[in-house]
Amino acid sequence: METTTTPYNLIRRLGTALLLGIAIVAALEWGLPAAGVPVYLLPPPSRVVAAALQPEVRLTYHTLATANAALVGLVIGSLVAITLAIAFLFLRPLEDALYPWVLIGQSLPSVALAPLLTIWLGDGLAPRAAMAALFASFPLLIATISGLRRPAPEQLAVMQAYGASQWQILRLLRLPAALPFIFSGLRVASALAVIGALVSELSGAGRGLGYLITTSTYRLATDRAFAAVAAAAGLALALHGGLLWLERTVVYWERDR
Amino acid sequence: MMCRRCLVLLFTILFTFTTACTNSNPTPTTPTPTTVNGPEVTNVTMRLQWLPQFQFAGYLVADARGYYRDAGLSVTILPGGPDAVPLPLVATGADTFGSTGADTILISREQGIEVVALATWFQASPVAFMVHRDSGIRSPRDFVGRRVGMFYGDNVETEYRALLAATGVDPASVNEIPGDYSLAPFLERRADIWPVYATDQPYTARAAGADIELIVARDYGVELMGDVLFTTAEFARNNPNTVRAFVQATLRGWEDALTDPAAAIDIILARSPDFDRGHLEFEATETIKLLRYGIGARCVGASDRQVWTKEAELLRSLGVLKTNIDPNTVLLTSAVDEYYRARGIECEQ
Repeated sequence: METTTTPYNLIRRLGTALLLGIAIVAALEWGLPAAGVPVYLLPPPSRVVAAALQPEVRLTYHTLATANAALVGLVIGSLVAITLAIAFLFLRPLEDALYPWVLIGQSLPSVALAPLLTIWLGDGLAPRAAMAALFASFPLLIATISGLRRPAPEQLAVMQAYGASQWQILRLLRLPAALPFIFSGLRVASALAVIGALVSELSGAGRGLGYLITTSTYRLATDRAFAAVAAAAGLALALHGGLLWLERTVVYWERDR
Repeated sequence: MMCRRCLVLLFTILFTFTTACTNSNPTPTTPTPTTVNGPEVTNVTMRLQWLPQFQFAGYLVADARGYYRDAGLSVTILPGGPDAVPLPLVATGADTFGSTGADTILISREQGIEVVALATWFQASPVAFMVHRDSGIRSPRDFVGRRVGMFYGDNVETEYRALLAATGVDPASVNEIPGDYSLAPFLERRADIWPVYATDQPYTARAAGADIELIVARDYGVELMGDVLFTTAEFARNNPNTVRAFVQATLRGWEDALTDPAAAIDIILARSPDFDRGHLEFEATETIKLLRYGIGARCVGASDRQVWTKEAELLRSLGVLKTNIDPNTVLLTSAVDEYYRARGIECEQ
C-alpha cells in the first residue's frame, strides 16, 4: 500500500498520463488541419468538444440511454453468471451438462444476434439490455467459478470437521474468497456491457450512443461520432471506477494486500 | 435509408419456420370490442427503413397531428437501421406495418413470405449513381474500368444490375468495392461511382465540398419504384378496419406534408433535434418529386398496376425473380382507392 498509493506516486503517475494526453490532443488539434486532413475523416479535438456541447446532439440523453441499457444488462448478466456459478458448485451434473454449451454459446458471434434480438424482444430497452447481458455474463461466470474454488482443501476440511453445511461453507468461506475474483470479473463485464449495449444500438435504435454514431457517420458528422465514442469510453470508465470503489468498500480485507 | 435485402435473404429460411411454427399475429396489439368499422386492433407499430426523416413525413405528420388517434389507433413509429429491417420484423409479427421497396415485396412473395403492399409512396426509384463532376463519367457506359461502391443485397444493387443490363455494360468490366454508410470512400476518391438515395446523400456530399453529378437509371429506361407501405396478408385479412384506418390516416399525413413541407419539417425536427433543417428541406423537395411522379400526380400513395407489372417483368428479365409474379396478388389498394373515391377522384385511368 505504501509504495503504490502515496500522494506523490499517484500524482506522478497521473501527471505522466495527463502530459501524454495533452501532447496527443495538441498534435491532433494543430497537426490535422496542417496536414490537410478533412474534418469528415478525423475532426480536431476542439470540433469534437464543440459537437459534444451542441444541445441538439443531446449527448447526455443518448449517454443515459446507453448507460441504462448497459447497467440493466450488467445486473441481469451478473445475476445469471453468479447464480450459474453457484449452481455448478452444488450440482456437478449440471456443470457437466451445461458448461460445454456455455462455452459454445460464448464462441457464437453475439453481434449476429442483434437483428434476432430485435425480432424477439421488440424495441426499447429489452434487446439492448439483453445484448449487454450476453456480453457481460461470460467473463463473470468464469471468474466466479474459479473464485468459488479458491479455498484450499485444508480450509474446506476445517469447515467440514466443525460440521459446517454446504451452504455455510459457501457463505462463510467460498463467497468471501471469491469476491476479489467476482469484482475483477465485474470490471471486465462492465466494459463489455457498454460495448454490448452500443452494438445493439448500432444495428437500429432510436436513441443511445450507438444510434448517434450510426446517424452521425451517415451524415458525415464525424465530430459528433467522436463525441459519442468519447462518451462511451467515459461511461465504461465511470462504471469501472464505480466498481473499484465498491470493491474497496466490500472487500475491505483485500485493501492491504 | 435502404432496404437491406441481403439480410432478408439470409433470414428467409428462418422466417418460413418461425411463421409456420408460431402464431404470427403482430404482437403489440390489443383486441378491442369491435364497433361498426372500428379498428379490430388499436395498438400497432410502424417500422421505417431508416431514420424518421422526410422520406417518412406522412407517418410522422399523421402521428404528430393526432390523425392516428382520430382513427382510433395508437401507433408507435420505429426507426430502421442496418439490422432493423422492416420485412423480417413485419413478416414475423414483431411489427404491424412496415416500409420497404416495391422490389422487396415482389421478391418476398416468391420466397413464400405473404406480405401485401397497401400504398405505393415513391412512384419512381430514389436511387441514383453519384459521380464527381471532374471524373468524366457521364453515362453507365463510362463505368467501364471504374470503381463502384456496392451494397450487396440492397435495392440499389437491383437497380445497378438493371442499369448495366439496359445499357449493355458487362458487369465484369466494372470494379465493385464494398459500400459504406459513410460517404467518405467516395469523397476520398477510393470509389468513382457511389449509389445513393437522390433524396438524401447528394446534400451531404455537397455540404462536404464535393462537386457531383447524378446518373439516374430512369433516364435509361429502367423504371423501378421505391418505398411502399406493407403488412402481412394475414394481418390485412383479419384486421381490414385497422388497415384502412392506418392507411387513410397516413394519407392525411402525406397530404399535409405535401401542401406544407415546412410544417412537416418542424414536426420532424421536434422529434429529432439533431437533424439539419437545410438537409430536410432538400430531402422534402426531392421526395415530393418521387411521390408526385406518374400516378402520384393525381393520387399520392396509389399503386399503378401497369408500373407494378413492368417492374415484375423487369426483375424477371434480370433473374432477380425466378417466376412471374402477378402484382395483383401483392397489391391491396382498397384503402387508398376508397380514400380518393370519397373525394371524387379516380386514381387509375
